Amino acid sequence: MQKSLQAMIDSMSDLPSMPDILEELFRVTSTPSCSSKDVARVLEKDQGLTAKLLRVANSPFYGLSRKVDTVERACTVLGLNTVKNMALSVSIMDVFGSAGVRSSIDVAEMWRHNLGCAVSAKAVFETRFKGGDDVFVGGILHDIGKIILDTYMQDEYFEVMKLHDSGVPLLDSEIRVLGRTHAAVGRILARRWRFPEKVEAMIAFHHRPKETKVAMDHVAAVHVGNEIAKALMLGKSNEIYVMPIDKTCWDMFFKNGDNIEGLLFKIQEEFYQIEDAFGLRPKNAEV
Amino acid sequence: MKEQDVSSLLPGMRLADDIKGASGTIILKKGTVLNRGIISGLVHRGVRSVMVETEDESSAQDMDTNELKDKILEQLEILRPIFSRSSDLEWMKILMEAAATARARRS
Repeated sequence: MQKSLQAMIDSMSDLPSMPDILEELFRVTSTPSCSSKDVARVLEKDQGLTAKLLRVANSPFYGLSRKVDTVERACTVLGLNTVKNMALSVSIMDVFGSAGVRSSIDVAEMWRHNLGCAVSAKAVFETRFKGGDDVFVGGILHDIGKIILDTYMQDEYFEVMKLHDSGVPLLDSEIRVLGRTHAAVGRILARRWRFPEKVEAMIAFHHRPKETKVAMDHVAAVHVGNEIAKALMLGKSNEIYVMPIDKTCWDMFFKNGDNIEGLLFKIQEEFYQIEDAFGLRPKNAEV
Repeated sequence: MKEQDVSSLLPGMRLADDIKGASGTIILKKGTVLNRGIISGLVHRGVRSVMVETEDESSAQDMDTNELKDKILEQLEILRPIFSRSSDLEWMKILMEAAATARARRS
């Protein structure tokens, strides 16, 4: 029997609360006078997070000519928004990084897919607009609902995956078993943790981009980037199929004669450059 | 590779080295396949001789191109099933072919 949305949220009462450090980071960065020093003061309280952040900042993906060794320096060189988004991505991967006991999905491969979507969505967005950092974080978080379902509703999600394995597309399987999709569940977390509005939209509407009321360009980039990551087989979303991309979204970024193959090659190279920094390269992979 | 007098260059020969202008900027890249227009451009610039690939080296390059084609076909076979719900759409077919080529170039 399908649970109501409220019952579903209640059954996830042990959903982790937002890490204090993110709460403080959102508060500090929302003040107009926020400086690199302020951000550094917050983030450097967590040494593990700081180390991971600096590893990502120094990865070839960001192409810095000199190594940055403090958060403050990273903020100055890369910009506050980039570092804020990086902190959000890294700390959420920490909270939801490991699988539940009876997981039906390969969580490590799932995070590789999320990273693949992030890299793809940012590259797609930047073919037409500037500043794809928000899109990157949207890519990292777009499937957070799947990880929540797999962790907190294991029996139900096992049924979803069983149906999907029989050839039913994942979204249809989720609706049949749960009455709602991972996108709707992801939105619950986005609201509870008070994610920025754009990020919430990218999580909630990445499969139905036309329904968003905010940040259509961001949502469209994640919608397109998600299928590109699957086409390039960067990690494994637990959806088997590359699903149709909405034509309006495709046309927002590509026109006839664009060098799509070149863009995809670039995305692929960037992904393999950055996966190491996120600690996601499979142990048995060729270097 | 061998040095070849510009007057004896033939269309289809492949450059074995970059050709640089007086200021050091690259005019033509290593690997460029010559055609009549390029050759007359070289004559016009007063270039006397260039390094070109020998026939053996050129056929090895051609084999690389064929090998890439095979790899693209191989990747298409891998991608076709996962695109089974979308490849009837023209833009999804473009995506599938671009992904196959990008993956083939990496493998």
